[in-house]
Amino acid sequence: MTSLVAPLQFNIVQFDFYRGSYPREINLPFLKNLRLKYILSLTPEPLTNDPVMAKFCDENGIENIHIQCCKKKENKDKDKDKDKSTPKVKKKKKPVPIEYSVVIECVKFLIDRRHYPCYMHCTNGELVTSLVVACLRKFSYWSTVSILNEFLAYNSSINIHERNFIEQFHSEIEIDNLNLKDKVPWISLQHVGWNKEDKVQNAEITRINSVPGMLPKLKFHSL
Amino acid sequence: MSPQDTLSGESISNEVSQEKYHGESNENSDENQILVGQAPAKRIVPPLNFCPVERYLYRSGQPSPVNFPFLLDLNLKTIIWLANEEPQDSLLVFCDRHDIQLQFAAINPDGGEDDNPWDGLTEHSIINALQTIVDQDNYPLLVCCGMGRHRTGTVIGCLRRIMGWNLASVSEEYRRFTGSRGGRILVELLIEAFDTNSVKIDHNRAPPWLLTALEQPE
Repeated sequence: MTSLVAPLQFNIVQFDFYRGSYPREINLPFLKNLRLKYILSLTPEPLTNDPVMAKFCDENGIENIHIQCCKKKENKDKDKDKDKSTPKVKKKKKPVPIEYSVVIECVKFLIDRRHYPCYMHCTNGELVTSLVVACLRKFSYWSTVSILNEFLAYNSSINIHERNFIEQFHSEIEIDNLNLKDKVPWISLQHVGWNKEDKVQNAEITRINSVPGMLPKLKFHSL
Repeated sequence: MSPQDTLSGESISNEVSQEKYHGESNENSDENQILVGQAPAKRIVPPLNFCPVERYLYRSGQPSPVNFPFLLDLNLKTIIWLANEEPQDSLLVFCDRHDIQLQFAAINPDGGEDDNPWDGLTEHSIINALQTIVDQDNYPLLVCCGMGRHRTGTVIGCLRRIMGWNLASVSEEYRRFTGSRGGRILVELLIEAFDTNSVKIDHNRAPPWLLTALEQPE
């Protein structure tokens, strides 16, 4: 049996939703086993610029979605067709490498359950991916402590900017043209079961109160 | 319930597809699910070091009462507890009340008085735990120990070996959950030396993801 090499920082976020670092040739047999439909790349350049990856995606019927981030400043001459034409303003070094717009784009893509199995990656599988996953967990109503606990498994530390980025994420995201039955369940859906269970006879259960108004919201237009 | 898992293309036994984990079941018509217009007043707190390992298989540190609502959502059937000592009473009561089978996998069942909580797992107890893990009947399943680091990491590491993962990938995953003091070399040696043939896999009862991993070309 050949041995499978998972991409660095590889893990499962939810069923059929994986995360990790930039895939390399050595990871291809492993990735093939995941039977992916999509690869979501949070990188400066599209994954398919790499001929090996382009061939792999092509052969396995995997679509590549590129959400550009962490692009280094450069001359305008290299125009990519998928690029959003954002006006170039000179910026100071950003406190975190991504903007909320990246998270929002991810949510808009990941909310559709037809987009799975999906592998989401950035360059090293650490900061950018972790920030996006942390924001996604807010849609599952995870407590901040649990979100940061997960974040720290992939990053040796967290600074105040990263923490703020996660805590202050409460955008209202407009979702167009998505039938509710095609929404993944783990985003903004809750099990009623434990509301019923949440009674006095279940004295062993402790609940954590939330701070209101700090969560992101979804707005569906297709209903 | 109408056919599910169009998302994954895999077919799993009815028993499991009827589980109503809020993160996984797909049918909007599921009467136990509601669309949340407003965020709930309480937050969800997964246990320390919680992480999904594969579908319906999870790992974590010792769950405490703040984690119980989250555990209820997972609709667990079995919890494997990897320690000599008993878990907190609250967990015992919780498992009892919600019909969760709590399987004790003592570190060294034959050790008697000489048994130390900081010892690594013996091969015997690893095989024991894995024998439960390769049986779909026990799912959804949570593997946990005190902190969800070394003992859980050993068992999951050996599972990854069975799945044909490269040893470096196994170690990377193990170390990710070991906190700031890093991995223990003895645990990694244990994982490396583990004989993957010592676990008997019944193909009719194994979870689908395990079969996928096993059927890869030579």
